[in-house]
Amino acid sequence: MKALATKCALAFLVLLALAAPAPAAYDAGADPVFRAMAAEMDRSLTELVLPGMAPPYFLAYRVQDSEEAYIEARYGALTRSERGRQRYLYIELRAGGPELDNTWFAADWRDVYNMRDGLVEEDDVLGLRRQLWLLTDAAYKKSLENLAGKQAWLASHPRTDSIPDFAPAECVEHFDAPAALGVDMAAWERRVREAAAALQDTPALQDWSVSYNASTADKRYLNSEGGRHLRAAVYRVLDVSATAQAADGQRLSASRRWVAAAGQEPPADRALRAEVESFAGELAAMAAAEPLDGYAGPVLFTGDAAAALLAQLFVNQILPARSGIGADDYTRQLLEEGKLVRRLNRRVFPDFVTVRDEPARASWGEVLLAGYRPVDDESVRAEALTLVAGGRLVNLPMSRRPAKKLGASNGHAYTLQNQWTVGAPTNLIVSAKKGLTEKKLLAELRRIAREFDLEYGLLVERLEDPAVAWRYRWSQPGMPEQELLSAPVVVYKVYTDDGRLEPARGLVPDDVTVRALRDVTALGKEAEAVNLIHTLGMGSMSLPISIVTPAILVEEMTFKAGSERDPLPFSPSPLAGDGR
Amino acid sequence: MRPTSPRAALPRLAAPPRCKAPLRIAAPLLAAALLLAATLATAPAALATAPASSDALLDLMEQELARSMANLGEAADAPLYHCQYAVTEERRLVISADEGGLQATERETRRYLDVDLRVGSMALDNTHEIRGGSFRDNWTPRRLVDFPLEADPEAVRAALWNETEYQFRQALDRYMKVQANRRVKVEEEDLSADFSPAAPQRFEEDLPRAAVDAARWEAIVKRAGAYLAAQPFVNESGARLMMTESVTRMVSSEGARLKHGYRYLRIFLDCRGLATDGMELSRNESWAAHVPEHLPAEDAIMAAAQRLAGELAALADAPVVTPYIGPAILVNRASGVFFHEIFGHRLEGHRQKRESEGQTFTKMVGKEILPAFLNVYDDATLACYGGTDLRGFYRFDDEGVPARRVAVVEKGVLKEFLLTRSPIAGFPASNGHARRQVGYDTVARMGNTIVESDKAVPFPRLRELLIEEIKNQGKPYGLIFQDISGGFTSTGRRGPQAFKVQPLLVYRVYPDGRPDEVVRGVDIVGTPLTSFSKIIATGDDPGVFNGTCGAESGGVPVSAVSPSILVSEIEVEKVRKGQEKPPILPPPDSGRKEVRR
Repeated sequence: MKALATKCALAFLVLLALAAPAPAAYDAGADPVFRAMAAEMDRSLTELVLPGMAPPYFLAYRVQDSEEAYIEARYGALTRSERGRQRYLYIELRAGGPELDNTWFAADWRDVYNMRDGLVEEDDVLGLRRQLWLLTDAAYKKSLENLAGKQAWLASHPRTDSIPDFAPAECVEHFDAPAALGVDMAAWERRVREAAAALQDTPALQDWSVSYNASTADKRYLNSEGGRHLRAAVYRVLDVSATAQAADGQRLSASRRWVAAAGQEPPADRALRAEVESFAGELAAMAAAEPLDGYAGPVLFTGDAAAALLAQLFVNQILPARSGIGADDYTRQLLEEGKLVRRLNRRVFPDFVTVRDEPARASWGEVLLAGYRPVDDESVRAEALTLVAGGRLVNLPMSRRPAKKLGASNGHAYTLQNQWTVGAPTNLIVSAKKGLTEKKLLAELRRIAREFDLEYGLLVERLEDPAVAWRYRWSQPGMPEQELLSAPVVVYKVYTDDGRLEPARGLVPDDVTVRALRDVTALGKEAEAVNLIHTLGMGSMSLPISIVTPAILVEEMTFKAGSERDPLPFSPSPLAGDGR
Repeated sequence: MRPTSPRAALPRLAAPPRCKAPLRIAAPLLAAALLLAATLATAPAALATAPASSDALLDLMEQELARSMANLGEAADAPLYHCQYAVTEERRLVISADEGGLQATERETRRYLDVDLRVGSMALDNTHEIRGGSFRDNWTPRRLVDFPLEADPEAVRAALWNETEYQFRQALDRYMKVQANRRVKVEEEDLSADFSPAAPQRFEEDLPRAAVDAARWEAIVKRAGAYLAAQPFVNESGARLMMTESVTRMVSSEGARLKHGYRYLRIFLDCRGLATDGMELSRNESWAAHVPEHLPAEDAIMAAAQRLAGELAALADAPVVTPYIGPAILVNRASGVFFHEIFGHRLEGHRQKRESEGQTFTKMVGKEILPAFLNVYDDATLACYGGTDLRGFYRFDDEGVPARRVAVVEKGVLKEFLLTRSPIAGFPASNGHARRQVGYDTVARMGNTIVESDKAVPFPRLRELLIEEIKNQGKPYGLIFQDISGGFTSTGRRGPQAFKVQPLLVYRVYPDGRPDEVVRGVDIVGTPLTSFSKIIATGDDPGVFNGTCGAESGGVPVSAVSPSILVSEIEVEKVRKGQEKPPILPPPDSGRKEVRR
């Protein structure tokens, strides 16, 4: 069976040499960044106050050091090969008190995009302190204004609950060794170039690129309650994307991403070539398929598509765990709680589904997990959670911001690039009481399709990444419809009569909601780990997570025919047979 | 707190570095360049030098261009009659220090592709103005297209093909709208064609990578940055060395084949503070050069840093000026910015043609628009002026037309505009001023705009004339604008034909002999025709402003050269001022005991 046989063929190379052993005891007192943070925190907590106003009651600094290497090839030649370093500061300053403070209030949309500040990259204590001093001063003044704005809003919109804004927590210390990038630029330039060049022999492709992006993230955190950590992570991301055009002008843009965590590497050399050729062949087959007018019936999601389905319909909808207050309608929408949050303690999946979140789990089989975070971004020890039991949503990943029925942190705080901290999943593991084998899953798909009087059911292997589709467009697209789920791009019809597979294309979701999760009718037996740098609905911020899931069979989903078309090429591609 | 854009503040040159050598041209190409220079001096439209082809990428670009023209020429209802490929390689080096700490040195090399194509005919094509709608009808957002860094034939040809397909669709779409717009709207005032012929140029020149001693410059930048950061009143500061080497390869369907490159080195110092009333204060200094040897020595940089810190401290204590009309001097570089913003932009060719533009000077060719003692020309062929390297130097514009000196104003009389290949009434051909930042459409832009005077006096005498003018007008004081950060001017018809420029350092000059006094809090405002009629004398002290000008076609390097000017009347109004209180705590003191946790 094509779909399920193409299991994630990651040939991970474990680079043990890059996984530097943690020092016996990290001397944070000798670390220039910690020294600068401590000095300015001490000053701010003892002296930072405007006459007649309250001083900050809580202060935290997060400094993230990132080193990055980026290599990209298009059509078979390098277009980028760069290395760089950045240092960012996130400030969390709370004015008021734990019952009511300045946080999670946005006077307008710009407060939601309150992006982190750049910090001087040299370990110059005085230079760092100067920036911390100015940015803390600005954060304090802003916090006082936000607190007043929030109080005013609440005066005219009385609360119906008495949930505090900040919960106590036991903060810990945790120190990793700083991460090392360890990229062989020349080797990856060659691999990326060769992988892209390999696709020159797929005439159906009009444009494509292969990129390799390795980055470190050393997050230093210090708060006014004694929490302190240095958490190090390395991610190596390989992206392959391409676009092909069907005879009717429909553009199909697909992508495949491998996110390798810690010391692992995405596929390289022969394995990489095999992957990109498989990817290209798959896309070419989709472009050659007949378009569908629409579909309503059972859908089987496998591999990357199963992970993407959960990321978009589950992860995106369980955070934030509590709405923020926006002074206007648009801002309020940006801060709205996830759609599943209000279904806490109610059924969100069928009763045979369990979903756990295990931050301290470092691996699944041979795959090191991108969501591994033993301590969260608030220096709280991360707890393993059961989020869904017997199909019911029984818990949520929580930061120190309490929500209805969930008053304490469980160590799942994650600070986004806009400096807002949310409770977020880490390593999400989905399982069923009794998973079905691949063969039985397909049989079940066909059985349900027959019940719907359909000629075929749908097997979805990959969903579209809207950013990739945008990049490859030739004409100006219309405004995208606001769908919770992106369009399926690698899709097969599975015929009910003989089970044969046939590529299909041209469908976009038609008002798919979180209800689709309750319509899950079966899960596979074997779970597969997919690492993601996931784009959250909230402000399009990114979150590294892992989703471990078997294939997912949904009893009924509705798709309609997509209407976007580009004119066919006026001139043949020089890489097409007749264009050379 | 990341490094601010160098465009955020426009620099001035207190001590211009000397132009120590003529522009460097690689020895094998010297003869070609000399021939080119002769060509430029005599017949701008003639075919320039054609050294033997040695560039594989240019060959590939020519081949794919020929294929595109053959396949697309008659592929749609509207014929493709002109196409141009430009691949620009940008090599960047940035060494910087912020708040006294060194940032990681940045190095990157990228290539970008611009495909310009025209469907229809020279008389009417897809670039024609669409009237009566929104500004978006006539402005295309920046489109940055990464291009292979390697001359892999398949990859290069495919990248060119893909972008050509995209741009062809945009051109066809727009051409249909242009045709409809022309039919339903009234006849345009200027019925000039949309494109004009130009002799295709063939020229190839390498731009070797400059050897910059990064370790040495990191040390200098660190010292200058640390000095600024340690000064009282300085809240934020930066020091940086930036180098961009830009090499453009261009081919066109008319047979143009060009490869030419420019190096832009800049050193930039800036410091910012806050007055007690919340007014944001800043001082900055910069130097521009074509080669590292022309950059200033460290002692000059440190001296400038000391001066900036002193000026910022003086500004913090300076009184705020109330709205005022009276005589003033704009010191040379400030005057250069003034001319660039208020005068130069109104001489750009497309502004004479577009119905949406105010067309201040369109009908004034042959008439006196400046005092008779002033001459203004734009000459992008100048690599330096009075010993200072000019950022506005280039050999060919972005339509492949050779740069040439354009006498814009002679003895106060308007002679010519700055032109692209889009002709305007009375001016049928380009004079080499089509410019853009990669990713934008070209429009007419300035290069090196030079103001010269036949009525120049030494600066001390100019100051005496200012005091006489103050007394004659019975004013309590006059103003000297030492430095201007930039400004903006409305050239369109929707807004008023007015301008506002933002001075950074202003002195109040008293007629009774009191010392000059630093003041703050004013913007210069006015209307162009009135303002230029008020110039009554100039200094003999031409100063060079080197900067980056932002307009419809993005940011392009420019220079403005001007003597100091005395104006009988200038209007200033209150600035829009920040409302932030100064920081509550004093700056961190390195001597303070650190807390160890």
